[in-house]
Amino acid sequence: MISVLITLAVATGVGLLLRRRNGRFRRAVSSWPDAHQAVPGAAVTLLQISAERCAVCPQVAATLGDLAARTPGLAHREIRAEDNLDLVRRHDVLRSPTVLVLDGTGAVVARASGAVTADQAWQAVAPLLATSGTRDLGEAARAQR
Amino acid sequence: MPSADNSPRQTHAGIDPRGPRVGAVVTSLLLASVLVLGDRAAGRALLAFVVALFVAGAALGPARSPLGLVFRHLVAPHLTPASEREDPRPPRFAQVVGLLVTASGLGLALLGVPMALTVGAALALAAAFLNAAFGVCLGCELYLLGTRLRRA
Repeated sequence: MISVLITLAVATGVGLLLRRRNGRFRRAVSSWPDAHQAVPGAAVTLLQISAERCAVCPQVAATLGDLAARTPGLAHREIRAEDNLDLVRRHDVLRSPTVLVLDGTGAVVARASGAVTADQAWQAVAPLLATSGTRDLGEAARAQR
Repeated sequence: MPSADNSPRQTHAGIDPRGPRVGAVVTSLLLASVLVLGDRAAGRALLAFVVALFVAGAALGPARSPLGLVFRHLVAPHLTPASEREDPRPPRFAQVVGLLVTASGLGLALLGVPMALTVGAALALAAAFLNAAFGVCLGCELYLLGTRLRRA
């Protein structure tokens, strides 16, 4: 009986921790700019790394793709983790999907993992689009609403 | 800006994501019962039944497994139609992981290793409960780690 309770308590702790982390963007610094991964012409690229066995990846891809389609200067690109193990190791990608936020030069400026929502992604990229100065942010904000 | 999506995923017929979730609830209850019964004949027999369910789930996939059929015929008719469909491969992979964990626990327990049944059932219960309560597929999270280690 006690083993059941301990197991469920530990699992609940892990679950709450994962839920809290889901989609939270953290600042990141990359010493390796992945210039070829950034979509040409985009001020910000959301690089989504998806494993083949991944339940939430299609949903995240649809959400981010939709946000990118509505936001000038923002691009979304999805790559297979299995085909890019080099990049997966270099950036210590542990969970699928992981979303790397790349600036125009391909440097990683932020990252998140798990079920990213449109709102979370927007909060992370809006300041970058503003400082990139190449786009009309008012238009971007209207597109978002 | 258009999405430069060189999408790695083919489209699948897809399953109702609530199916594996309901299956995880049933599996959690069974595994909790195994822990309560402990390492004796009844506990081992029930764990063997869970192993058999994982074998079926891994071999047949979530749509045609016994728990999948129970969901489709007994539970789904009482629910609103699925608003979204899910790739059946991640839950199937999770069944393989569950099979490895529970079969190891049962096998070692039969060989007389102390605590093997408890540890195996507890690990599987933690994973099934995470899926049932939080929708987290632990087997899927491990998949990427496994890929990295294999080709490291």
